[in-house]
Amino acid sequence: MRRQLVPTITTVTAVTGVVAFTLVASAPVGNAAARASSAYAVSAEGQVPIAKTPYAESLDGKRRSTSALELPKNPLLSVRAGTATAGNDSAAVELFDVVVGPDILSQVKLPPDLKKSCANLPATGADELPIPNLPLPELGIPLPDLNTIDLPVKNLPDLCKLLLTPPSSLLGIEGLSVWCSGDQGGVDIGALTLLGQRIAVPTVKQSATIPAAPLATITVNQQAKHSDGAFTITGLTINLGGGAQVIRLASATCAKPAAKPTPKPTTPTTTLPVPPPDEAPAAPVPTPVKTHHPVTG
Amino acid sequence: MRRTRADERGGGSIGALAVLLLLGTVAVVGVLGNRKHVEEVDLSTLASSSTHTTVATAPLDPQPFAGTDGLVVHPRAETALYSAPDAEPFAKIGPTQFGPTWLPVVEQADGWLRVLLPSKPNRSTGWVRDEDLERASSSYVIRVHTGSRTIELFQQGKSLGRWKAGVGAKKTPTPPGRTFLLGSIIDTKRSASPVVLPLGAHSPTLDTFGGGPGTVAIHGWPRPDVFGAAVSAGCVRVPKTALGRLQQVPLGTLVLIDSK
Repeated sequence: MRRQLVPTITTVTAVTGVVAFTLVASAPVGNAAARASSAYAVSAEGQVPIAKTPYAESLDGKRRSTSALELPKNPLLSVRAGTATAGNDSAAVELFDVVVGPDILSQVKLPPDLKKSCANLPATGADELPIPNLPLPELGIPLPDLNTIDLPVKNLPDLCKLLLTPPSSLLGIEGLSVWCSGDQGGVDIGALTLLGQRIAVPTVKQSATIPAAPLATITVNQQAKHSDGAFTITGLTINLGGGAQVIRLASATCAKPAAKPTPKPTTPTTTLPVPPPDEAPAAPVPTPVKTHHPVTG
Repeated sequence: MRRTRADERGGGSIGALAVLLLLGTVAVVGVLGNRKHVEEVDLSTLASSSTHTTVATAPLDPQPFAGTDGLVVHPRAETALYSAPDAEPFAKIGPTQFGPTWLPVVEQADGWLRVLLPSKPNRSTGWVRDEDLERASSSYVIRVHTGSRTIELFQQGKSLGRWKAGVGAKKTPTPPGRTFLLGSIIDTKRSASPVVLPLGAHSPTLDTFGGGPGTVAIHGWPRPDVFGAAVSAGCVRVPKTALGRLQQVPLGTLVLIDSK
């Protein structure tokens, strides 16, 4: 009985081993992620919901990119252009010219007393005049009940200017760029305006806040690590009306990559020394080529 | 009886050997099949990456605002581009663009280099096998800041100059991210500012421009009022002194565009 088992066990072991080897050897070499990497430029939840637009997802690890030049019609926000790209354990979003709350103050009618005060500002000393505390009407987007003192102005002339020549938006963002690779990512933010006034972005470090109270709570570079190993980074999270409306701009999710068949690549900036001159000579000064190629001007 | 048992044992062994032989053959074919696939790439079936083309499947630049160690490479012949080391080829890159092709290396693995590509979309990369490549080192970095509308030139980390520059207007922004000097050309059809340094990037809002593919470039401008303004269709307009310095910078040199 024992002697009969020997070839059987040999056979089973051999077959198992060779089948396993065959499967490994014959499998296509690649590193497509088990969970898809994805990215989107804009989404909103709350009174004005907006689906993730544009949205890109990479199911097979290959790069997918999608762009949108306009959003579904809504009173809350608009963009000039947004591109979302997702690849194998990497994703990125580029967003240009975002407007939150377009023409928000153009519908505000000045109370008669304030109108009169604005029309009769004294030639000198007007800067010293206090801001009257008057309630503002509903502005058409979810915001807390606001008074004139909540607006980012220092004095009465500033308030008059703001209400008589209203800015084109509550919040304007010139450009926003977000990317992730594996479990790391970053944010690049262009000029930002709050009711027409440029506000400084103090830092783009994780979970930094941009002061815009009480109009909005703006958080930069929100990051989350998921239980399955995926990583999400969101460029700007704008909270209006104490959570009644949440807008997420430029969000990228990097799926955890499957085990790679090759050693993990190293980035030259961190691990590789500058090649010695004898190994990599100085790159040549280019010789200009006479040709015609239309560039963007 | 003993003989019969012996025959049975012998039959089992022969069966095992037959299965082993069969599966072993399949395994060897599998291994050789994969190797053959990597080694013998039919370049004629692959799309070429250039400023005129779009290669949608190119992997993303994993660190679009990071620096490098300055390594640049020149493919001596048409070379396949891979989505990852040992993965499938998805495109190819030729030895010339406007002049010789020089690409910055942004990542390295055993026998493989990841380079930035000149094709659309922006931030495209590809892996090339570390063979038939001429290596060189650029000690320069060009930084463009669209917020402050300035351009800076560094050599070995030291600033060689900072100039006001005209950058993309709101509707036609200069795309942020990491790109590179793709060429150095004299465009005789641009009589006012013929020196043009095309980059590896394209306008994010214009698919075509003036009959071209929307290539973003650094070039001069006849009037100084544009320097320090967001007025262009995506290109970076620089003063004459800046352009003179930038013309000396090797092809493949990294150009880092941010919103600062």
